[in-house]
Amino acid sequence: MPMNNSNNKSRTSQRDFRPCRKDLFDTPSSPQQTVEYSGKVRDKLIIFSLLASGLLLIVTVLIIFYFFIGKDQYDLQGTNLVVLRDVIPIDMNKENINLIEQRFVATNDNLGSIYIVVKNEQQENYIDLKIFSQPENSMVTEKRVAVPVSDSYQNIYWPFNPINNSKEKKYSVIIDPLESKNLQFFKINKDRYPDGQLYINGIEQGESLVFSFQYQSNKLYKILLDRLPVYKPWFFKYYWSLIILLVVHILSITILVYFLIKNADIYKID
Amino acid sequence: MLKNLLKNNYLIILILLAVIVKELIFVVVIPLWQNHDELEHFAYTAYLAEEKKIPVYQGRFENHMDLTVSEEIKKADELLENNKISSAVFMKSQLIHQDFSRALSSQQVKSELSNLNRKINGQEYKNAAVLYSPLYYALEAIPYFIFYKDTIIARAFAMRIFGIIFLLITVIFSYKMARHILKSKLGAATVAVLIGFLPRFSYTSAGINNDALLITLSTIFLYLIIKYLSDKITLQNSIILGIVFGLGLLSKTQFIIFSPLLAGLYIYKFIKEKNNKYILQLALVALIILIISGWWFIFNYYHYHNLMGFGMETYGETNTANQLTFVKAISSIILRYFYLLNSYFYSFGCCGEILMAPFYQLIFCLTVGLFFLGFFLYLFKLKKDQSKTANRDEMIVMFSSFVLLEGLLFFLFLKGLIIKGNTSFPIDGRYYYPVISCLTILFIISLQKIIPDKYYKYTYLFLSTGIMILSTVSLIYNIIPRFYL
Repeated sequence: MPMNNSNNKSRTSQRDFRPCRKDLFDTPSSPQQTVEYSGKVRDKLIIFSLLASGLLLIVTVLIIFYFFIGKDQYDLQGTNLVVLRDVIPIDMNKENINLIEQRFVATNDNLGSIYIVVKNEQQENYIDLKIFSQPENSMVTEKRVAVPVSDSYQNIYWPFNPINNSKEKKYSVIIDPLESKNLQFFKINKDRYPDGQLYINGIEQGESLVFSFQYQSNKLYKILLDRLPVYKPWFFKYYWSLIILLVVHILSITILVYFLIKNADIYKID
Repeated sequence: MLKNLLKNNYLIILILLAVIVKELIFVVVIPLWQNHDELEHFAYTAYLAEEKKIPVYQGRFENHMDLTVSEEIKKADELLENNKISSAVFMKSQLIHQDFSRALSSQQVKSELSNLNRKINGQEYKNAAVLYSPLYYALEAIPYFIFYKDTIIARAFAMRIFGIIFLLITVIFSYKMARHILKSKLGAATVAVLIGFLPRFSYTSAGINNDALLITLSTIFLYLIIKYLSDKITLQNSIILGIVFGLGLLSKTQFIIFSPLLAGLYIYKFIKEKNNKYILQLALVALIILIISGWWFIFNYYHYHNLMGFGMETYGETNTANQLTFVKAISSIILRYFYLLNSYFYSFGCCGEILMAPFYQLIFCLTVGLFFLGFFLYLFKLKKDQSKTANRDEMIVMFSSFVLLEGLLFFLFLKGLIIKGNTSFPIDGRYYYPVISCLTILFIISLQKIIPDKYYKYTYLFLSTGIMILSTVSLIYNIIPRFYL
């Protein structure tokens, strides 16, 4: 007796189930899976997704730390454009100035760069910058710097090889204007630097030069651990309280992602 | 019973726990007084707690920055400003200038700040925050009193932590609203996660600011309106609506913009069911609102001869009107949306930071583009099936809430334009957070119009995971370096 087409197929096929493994799109592979799905394959998928998400998060965090904010962090100290409205110009030509010296005590190791606020409106000028270690008055580094023409205030940025053991040592920054014309530096009526003095043509002034300096460091974690507890109450003053919070944060969102994935399975929208 | 509660609501409970932990980190890493007008809001609570009476603004309002503080608050502000860890830096320049080496140790801070006078001069009191009713500040006085014997820094941080409650309530009611509209647990969870982890909203919620209470009460109110659209409005429901609206008015008087929605609900029900009880219930609601918030308007009238409080605009400059040009006014209206959307999603307002600057333009364009495309598709019903999404009435309420808020800001713009010739539009995205639940649900509905049904859950998972990662990245990439490096 000839069999019709449907009889050639298994009962599962006749009931319109595709003979395939259960996939991401919920295609049941057997009646058993439809009625009472064991969930083993799905659980594996959830665990895989969870691990992938966690891994992605950790990798993202590490990439950001190492490629974006892990390089050459610094502590900026001193005075810069922030206080320009309170400053007094030092007109190099009018006052016939041939040497400016600002002394200061470094508060950290790795003194690595200097910003000096200047105004130069007419022609390109060159100046010599030198750093001396005090009180022995020995030169640490020097550089000739071009000051471009600009209508507005500008910062001369001078990076140099970081001075490793600069902490609590006294230094002086010396500006030699050479043949510069119409160049203006600035001073401010406040003592902005620890134990700092400003000398113009060797005469001590009551003000401070408008400039700032940076301490370079690659030890990002150390900087953060030092700074995060600053002006925090007793319940947050220990850096480990933040580390614990960060770990719990990563854990909590990973667990949440897990349950969201699991929920996506149970409460189907379509 | 508790077991059942946990079992049925475990997803939202997990979301709330994750939001608490994330928000605690935001609270810790943002230095004091760095959030929007935080010092002014703290000073209000301090006045309530120390003087035990509602502050009254004395004399003419001339400058937003005028602030009368106690010796203790002044010292705390100076301490942070002198060490360049306070908002004063950002007002002077965008340049970062920090000097942690000068910061005092915890012990030094304690000795400098303890035993300082907390008395505030009420005779010459000036504080722009006095414009608002004391409801939020009275609530924030609870942690203030708990930590009364501690330093001002501990009290301020305790108040910030207490403020997380408002964020949590906002998330809960956004979830409930989304559950009601989207009819999907995962969709609702996505809305809750999107709101709870939105980087800028997290930043704003970490500070001391009465906006938190306004946002919370607005969310509850909008949820109730949407819920009662399809439910019966009982007497009990009306009383609840009246209480929420009354408290909303006490959080910030601009809550009044939602009154058309309140009246509209009862008129809609009256027309639909032709039942006079709704008119009576509306009168009852109005009475409850008057009882709860009426005293504040009487207080304002008594002290300032103005129901809305002392008038800031009245004393503004009037000689700038002749600088106004038509182009300036129009460009201000158009350009504001770019700034507005930026600051709503990813830029951290007062600290001048834009989240993930290199990638942000792409994320920003995608978010906004998808939103408008989906909304357009909804309006024109290009994808016919509307059964799994909001119905017409719910859409009207959600969209109206945005339009009403926008109307208020436009009114303020026009008022400034006419009185002072001021072409600056209120452009901070945080002004739209009172309707954040509606905007987020509208965003999800827009996506539903673009994405095929079977991919909904993957979209939800992508959005939830994405915003949580973005929130973590914003902490590490933007906020921590901004304040500590």
